[in-house]
Amino acid sequence: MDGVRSGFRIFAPQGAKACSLGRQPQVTDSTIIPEPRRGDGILPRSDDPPSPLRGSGIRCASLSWGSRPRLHAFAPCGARTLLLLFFLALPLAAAPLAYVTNELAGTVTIFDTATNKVVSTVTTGARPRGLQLTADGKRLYVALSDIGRTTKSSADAIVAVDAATFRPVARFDAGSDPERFVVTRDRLYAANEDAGTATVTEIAKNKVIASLIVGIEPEGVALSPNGRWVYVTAETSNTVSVIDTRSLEVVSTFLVDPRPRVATFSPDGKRAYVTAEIGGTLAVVDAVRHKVLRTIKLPPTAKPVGVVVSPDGKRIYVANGHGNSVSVIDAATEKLTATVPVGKRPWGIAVTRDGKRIYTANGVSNDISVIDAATLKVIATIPAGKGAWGVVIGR
Amino acid sequence: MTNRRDFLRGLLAAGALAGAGAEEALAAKPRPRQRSESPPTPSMRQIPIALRLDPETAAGRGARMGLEEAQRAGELLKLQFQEAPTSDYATVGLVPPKQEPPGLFLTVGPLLKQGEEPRPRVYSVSATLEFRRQALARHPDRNDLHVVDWHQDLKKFGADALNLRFSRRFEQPMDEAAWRGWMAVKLITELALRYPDAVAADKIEELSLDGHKGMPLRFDPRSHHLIQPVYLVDAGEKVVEEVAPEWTE
Repeated sequence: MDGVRSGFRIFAPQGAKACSLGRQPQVTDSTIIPEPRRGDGILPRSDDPPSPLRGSGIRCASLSWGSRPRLHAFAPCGARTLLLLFFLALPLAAAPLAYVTNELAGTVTIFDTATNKVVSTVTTGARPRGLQLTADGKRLYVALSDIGRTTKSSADAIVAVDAATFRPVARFDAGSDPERFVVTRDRLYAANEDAGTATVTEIAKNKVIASLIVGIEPEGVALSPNGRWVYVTAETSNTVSVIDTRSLEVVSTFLVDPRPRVATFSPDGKRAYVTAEIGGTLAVVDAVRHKVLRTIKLPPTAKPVGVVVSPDGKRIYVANGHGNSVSVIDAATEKLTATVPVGKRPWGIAVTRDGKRIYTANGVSNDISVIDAATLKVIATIPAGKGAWGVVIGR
Repeated sequence: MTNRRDFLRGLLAAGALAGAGAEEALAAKPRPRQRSESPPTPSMRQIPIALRLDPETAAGRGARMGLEEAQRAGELLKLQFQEAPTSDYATVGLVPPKQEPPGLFLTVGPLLKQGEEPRPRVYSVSATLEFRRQALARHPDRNDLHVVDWHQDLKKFGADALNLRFSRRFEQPMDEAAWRGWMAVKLITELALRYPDAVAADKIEELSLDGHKGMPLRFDPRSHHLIQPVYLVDAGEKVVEEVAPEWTE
C-alpha cells in the first residue's frame, strides 16, 4: 500500500473508517498529497510523452510515471479530473466485491456483495463501459473511450487494475472505441463499435495482434468455456461472428434478430444465448455448430441487452433494458418463467458464483438492483453513478 | 481503408484491374483480416440494387453508406450486394416509375399524396403525412415546429453511432433524407438476407427491422409507408419531442 498515499487526495467521510479496497492494510487517516498535474498518472494524454507501458511489455510491478509512484489513476492521465477515492465503508465480510462502470459519470462503483453497500467509487475519467475480471479475480479490466466520440480518441483503451487495490497495472490498445470485451489468460478480444472490427491484443506484449471484420457496429463479445470460440455481435448487421481463437480468423457468421447486443455461453459450452434488443428476443444457439436453434420471445416491453446464465446452467437471466425488468428463462425448457421489475434501464447483469443473487446495473435510475434468486424479488437497491452500465462480481 | 479495398474490388469485378498486380494492389496496406478475403466465388449469391439517386445528394450518400455496409455484412454472410443500373430485385429512388416496377421500388422522396392508393411494389421509407400531422397536432400552440424522420442529434438506440458513421464518412450530418437513403438500402439487404429464396416485394410487409429508432420498424400494408417514430424539431433545429406510433404485435 505504499503507493496509496501517493499522488491523490484520499477522503474519509466523517464517522467512516478509511480503508483500502479488499482486504489490504488500512489507511488510517486522510492523507493529502499534491493533486495530479497535467501529465501525471500512468495513462498519458495524446500530448504526453509515450507511456513506458506501451509496446514494452506490461509486467508493471512498478507503475511510476515520472520519478515516483502514481497510483489509483486509470483515467486518461493528465486530465484535470481530480481522481478521488471515497472510502465509505470497510468490507469486513469474506463475500466478494462487485464492480459497476458508470459511463456518464466516468466512475467505477465498488460494493460489497455481503452487505450490498458501496465501499468505494473510483474516478476513471473518459467513458467506462465494458469490464471484466480475470479468472482468478485478481485483475479488473475496464474499457475506456471518449464520451464525445467525434473521432478516435487517446482515451480509447482497456486498462487493467489490481482488483483489490485499484492499483493500475497496464493500459492496452484495443482499437478504436472499445466497448465490450473478454479477457483470457493471454489475450483481450474487444469489439470496436465504430470501426466494425474486433481487436485482439496480446497481453504479455501489450500488442494488437489482429483486427478482424465482424459486422457493422460490433458490440457483444463472449468467450466459450473451452476458450476456443469468441462470439462478437454486431448491432446494425444483426450478425454474430465466430472467431476461432486458434487461427484468429472469423470462421462463421450467422444472422440473429434485430439489434443483437450481448452473447453468453452456457457453462457446458453447448449453447450460447444472444439478446436482440429491437427483436425483443433471445436466440438459443448451438455453440458447437454455430447455428441458431430457436428464438425465445420476451415480454412485449422488453428491450433485452444483458444476459447471464446461472452457474448451474439451469436459468438464463436477461436484462430487459428499457423494459425495466429482468426475464428469467428455464434453460431446459427454454420457457420464460418470470419477469422481475428492477430499476430503470438495466443493461449489465451478473450472478454470484453460488447463484443466489443477481445484480443489474440500471443506467437511467443510476443504481443496482439486487435480486434474490430464490424468491425472484428485488431485495436491495444500491446507488451507483450516472449511466450505470456494466457489473461484474469478484472472486 | 475498407473503401479503398471495396473500390479496388469493384474495379476487379469490372475487369479493369485484370492481370498481374491487382491482388497486390488490394494487399498493399494492412487491413482488418477476414476469412474470405478472396473475390466473391461464383457460388456467392449476388443481389443487384439499383440506386436511382444523385450520389452527391444526402439521400444518395445515405444509400451509398447503406450499400457499403451491406457489402461488408454480405461478405460475412456469403451474399454479394452490387450496385446495378437496373434491378429486378429492388430499386431505390425518388420518383417511382409510372408503370409497375419489375421489382421492389423504395422511394426516399416525396410522400404519397393523401388519399392516393398505394401502388403494387412501391413503398415509402418515410412516415405517412397523416402521422406527421398527428405528431405536430400534439402542440397546437406552437407554429415553430416541424417534423422529421431523423435528426443528427439523436443518440438513443445506437442513433449516435449511425450519425457518427455518416458524418465521418461524408463530413456532413445525417439528415432525414440521408437516413431514408441508408434505411432503404438496409431494408433491401435485410430482405435478401432473411428471405433468401423469395421475391423482395413479396416479403417486404413481413419484414420487421431496426432503424436505430428504438422499436421494430415495419411497413403498413394499407399505406405502404414505414411505421416509425418521428421527431418534432424547433426553429433552432433542436429536437423537442419524439413521437412514436403504438406498436401492435
